[in-house]
Amino acid sequence: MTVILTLAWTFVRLSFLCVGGGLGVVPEMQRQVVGIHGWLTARQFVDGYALAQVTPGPGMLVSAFIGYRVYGLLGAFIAMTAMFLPTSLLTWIVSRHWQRLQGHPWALAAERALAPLAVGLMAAGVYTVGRSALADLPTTILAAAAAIILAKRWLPAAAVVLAAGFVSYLLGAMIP
Amino acid sequence: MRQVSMGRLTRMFAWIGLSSIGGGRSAYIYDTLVERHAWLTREEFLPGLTLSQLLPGPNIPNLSVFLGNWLRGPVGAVVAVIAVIVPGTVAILVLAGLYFGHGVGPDAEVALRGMGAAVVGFLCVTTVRIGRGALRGRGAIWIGALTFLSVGIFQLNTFLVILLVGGLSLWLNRPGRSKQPKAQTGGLP
Repeated sequence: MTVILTLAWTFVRLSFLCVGGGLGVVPEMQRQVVGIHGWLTARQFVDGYALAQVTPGPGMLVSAFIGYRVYGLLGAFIAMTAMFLPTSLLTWIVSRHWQRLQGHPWALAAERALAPLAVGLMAAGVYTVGRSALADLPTTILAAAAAIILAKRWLPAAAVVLAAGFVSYLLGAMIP
Repeated sequence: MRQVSMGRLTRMFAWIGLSSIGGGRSAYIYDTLVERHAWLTREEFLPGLTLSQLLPGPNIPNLSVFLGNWLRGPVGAVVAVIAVIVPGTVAILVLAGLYFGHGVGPDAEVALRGMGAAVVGFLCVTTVRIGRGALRGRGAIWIGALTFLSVGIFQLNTFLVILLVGGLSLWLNRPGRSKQPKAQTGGLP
């Protein structure tokens, strides 16, 4: 029972740290889930994050992956509810007053102030995932190739990620 | 407000959830709801986009709450956010069941490694794209760098960093400072 409460409380806190989107919270999520609670290994965390990226829907679906590991379907339900419900409620409350608030000088100031913070958090997220995911030369080359293909907009992201999995599989079969 | 039936609202947001794999999700929602179906105007959509990025929480569910509320009130907000999340949740649970239940064979492990690597490339590109538009305010580069160093490299508590660096950034950008650049709205057309 305690683990359910810990799980819920951990994901509620994480949800409120999602500034400018989900990627920014990845370092803290890994710190909590892998480092502090030991629910997943760093490898499992990256695998879960990669799977959440090729799954339709928000990237924060990784919460269900983690919750499932901790306490099965109930754990997944708890983690998802904790991740999405409180912040959705907050958004609903604010959106009812947003027409009046949006032109307010402090609202504009907050918007300007949070944008660089969000980018810094996103970069930290990339760094965190990269440290576990780029283990050797082949993975680093794959990441660079994926970045080039996506920067040139040759293929959609999910196709590139799936293709990289296939390429990696083929290379693994050729070089035992 | 357009009269959109609850059934259509559900189907639309479920479809948005299903088809938004990878990047450019807000741009995709904009394209679907504003350009193709004209459920709301650009002027009605953009405040929601700003709000969803400004408030804590994952962006797409936040945006769905705003849009659902705009189109069909509180019930619309609930329906939209559930519709956008549920299809992906079912998919990730199937994958999680396979991953933890059957274990990962050596082949799947190698494939996952490649996927993880490509995700890093994808995240790099997304971050650079968003960063180009967002790093224009007063001291923005330094705020971004400070955040990256403290959270990424030194692995400090993110809550603390948001509080301290966010406070500093808010002070630098406080109302009344002249020559403020116009606020960004997520790099949409």
